[in-house]
Amino acid sequence: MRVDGKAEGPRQSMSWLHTWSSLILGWLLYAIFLTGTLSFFQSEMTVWMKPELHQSLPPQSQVQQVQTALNFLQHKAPDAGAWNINLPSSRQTTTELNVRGANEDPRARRGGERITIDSSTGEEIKARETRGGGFLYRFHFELYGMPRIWARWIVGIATLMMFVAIISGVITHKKIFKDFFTFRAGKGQRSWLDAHNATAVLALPFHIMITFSGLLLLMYMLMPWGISSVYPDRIQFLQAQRAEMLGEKPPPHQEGGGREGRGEQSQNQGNRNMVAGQDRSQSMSRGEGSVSQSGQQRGERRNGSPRDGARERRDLPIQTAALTDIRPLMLYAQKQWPDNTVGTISIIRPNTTNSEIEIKALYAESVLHRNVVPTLIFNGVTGELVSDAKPVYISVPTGIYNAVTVLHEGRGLDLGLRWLLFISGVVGTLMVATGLILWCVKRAPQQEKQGFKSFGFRLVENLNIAAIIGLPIAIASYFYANRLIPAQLENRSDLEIKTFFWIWLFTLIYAALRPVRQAWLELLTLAALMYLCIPVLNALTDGRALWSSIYHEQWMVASFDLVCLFLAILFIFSFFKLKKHKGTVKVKKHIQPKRALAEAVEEA
Amino acid sequence: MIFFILYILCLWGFVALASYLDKHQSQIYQKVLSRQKAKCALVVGYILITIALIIAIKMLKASIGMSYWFGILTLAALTVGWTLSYQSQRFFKVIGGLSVFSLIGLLLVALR
Repeated sequence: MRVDGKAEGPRQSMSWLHTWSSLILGWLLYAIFLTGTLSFFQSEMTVWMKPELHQSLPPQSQVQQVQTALNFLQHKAPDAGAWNINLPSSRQTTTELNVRGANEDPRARRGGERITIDSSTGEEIKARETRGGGFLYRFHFELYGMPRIWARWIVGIATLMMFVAIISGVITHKKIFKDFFTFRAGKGQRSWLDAHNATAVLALPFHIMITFSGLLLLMYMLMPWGISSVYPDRIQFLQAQRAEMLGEKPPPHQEGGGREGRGEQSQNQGNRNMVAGQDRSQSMSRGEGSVSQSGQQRGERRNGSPRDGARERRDLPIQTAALTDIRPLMLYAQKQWPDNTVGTISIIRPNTTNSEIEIKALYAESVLHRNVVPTLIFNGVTGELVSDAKPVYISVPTGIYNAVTVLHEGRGLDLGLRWLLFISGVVGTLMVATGLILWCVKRAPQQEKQGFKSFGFRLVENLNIAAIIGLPIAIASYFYANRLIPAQLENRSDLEIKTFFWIWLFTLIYAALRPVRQAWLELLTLAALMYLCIPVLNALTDGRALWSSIYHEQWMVASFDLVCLFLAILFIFSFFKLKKHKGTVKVKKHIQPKRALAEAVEEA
Repeated sequence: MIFFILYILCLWGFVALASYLDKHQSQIYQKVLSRQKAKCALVVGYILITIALIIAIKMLKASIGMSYWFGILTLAALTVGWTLSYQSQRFFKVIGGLSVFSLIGLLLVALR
């Protein structure tokens, strides 16, 4: 019902709902969207924020990379319980090693000693202490400095509001297809509305996917009752879900669970062989020997899983034995995965008669296979293939959950798709920003008419400035703090985060103290300067300079600098656009002539 | 490689779809198209976009292919929308230039 007592149409009701559901948590949504979008490249950001890692230029051959890592490990920890070797990729310059003690679980997600080495020289690298891109990633769904459960509830409610805003926005939009490509520049409110519509409609599938999957990722917290009625805790549910996917028997319900169990469960998700239907009896040529299977192993596979065989071997008395040559195993894996590359190599009980070598691919075969990457398991002494081939069963609900959440998190996706998700995320961020600005632009004439700005309007204007331009400035200051705070200083990562929040607060206070237009212009200038200087800062503070990173094809560092330059250009463009803008442009109103006359008389 | 193939197909698909809309015909062709030509453009647009989807699914499997396709659709639609708004006088030059750049990218990736 409207204020004047007349009945309201469904579109008008939806318009109201769209406006207010978006505005109330709009600034938070903007922060979630922006930091979430940047999180698609959190590994790249972390690499940039650890300039010590830039020195590593991985050799082309993965075999060479593995050999360098193995030489290091044989020298450093020959008696370890397990070695994990994470090879360099398009998102990582160095080789990341994890050494587990003899009594540690070799497959647990956490634990062990982490070592970073130069991929070509094998030299150990001690990088500075920083949260890197992980801070923005965590902030995106856990905010900062408040109990995790509270933060997740707040983000969950904001996501729900976003979903309401998307649905009501689609209903409100009158000419969704006719105005598909329409953007009328320089027409005040109309332009902002066009920009808001265009950014919303052009990436609508992404917006729906990212919001829906955001809710799915929080569903255990938002709607726990269904799961709680069947399973004692979430871990048990996940284990049962996974067992169903792999066609195994679900584990018996156990009380408790905890982080340890969750870590193990998550890690084991990656240890599946996905090469279904392949004939493993074939022998592979491998130089000195061949990757073949003995009759005994084939029998073993017929009677039980490869893990059973491994378990049997594990029970044998342990004796020292030389590790097999890794080269033929690598060549075999590369031949098996022509469209994939080797991502991780785990060597369990190295240099013993019971050693095993697990070679895992970098990417999953499909977005439906959440965390399940193709894996090959070899005997660590003889080099024989001992892994089994098992198809993965995915039910429709699991498939939907896996597909949308994998896309949301950008897990195991190749670089092209990651960039597309990033671009869609930028479009989504612009959608929220234009929506927030539109709220003010729409109400500006009324505020001008009444001769003063109401408190609510001024508040929204200030919060818009602090969010839309203040947050990018705060993020840039986080990068500056990373490079300017001495590398050896204790608790430096906390200082970096504090800098981020102090600068963000500064932009809010600045926006409150300055006239709106001036605040926008000055903060845009500051943002442009900060982002423009980031490549220079990188080169001056031990990072690899832009020209060098391009020359050496270290794209994760080069693209960071290039994106900063692009953002600087965007801020400069926005600055000049705003500077040229003379003030509120009167919007053509489709009003009744009588009402127009009455308004004109009133104005006169 | 798939990135460039899909981008070129979706870009021209959206050019054809924009040609169906009255308001964009004068921007693109400086005249209004006949009803028959406009409908023809609509059909061509849908065909190109569908071909892109089929190629994506065939080359990348359904789930990743569809994700790629949606992402490329956004990028291509943004390109057409931006060109119509800011470069409508040189519409075909811009779209043609982008297509040539994409083809060069495609060749470079294929030859690597």
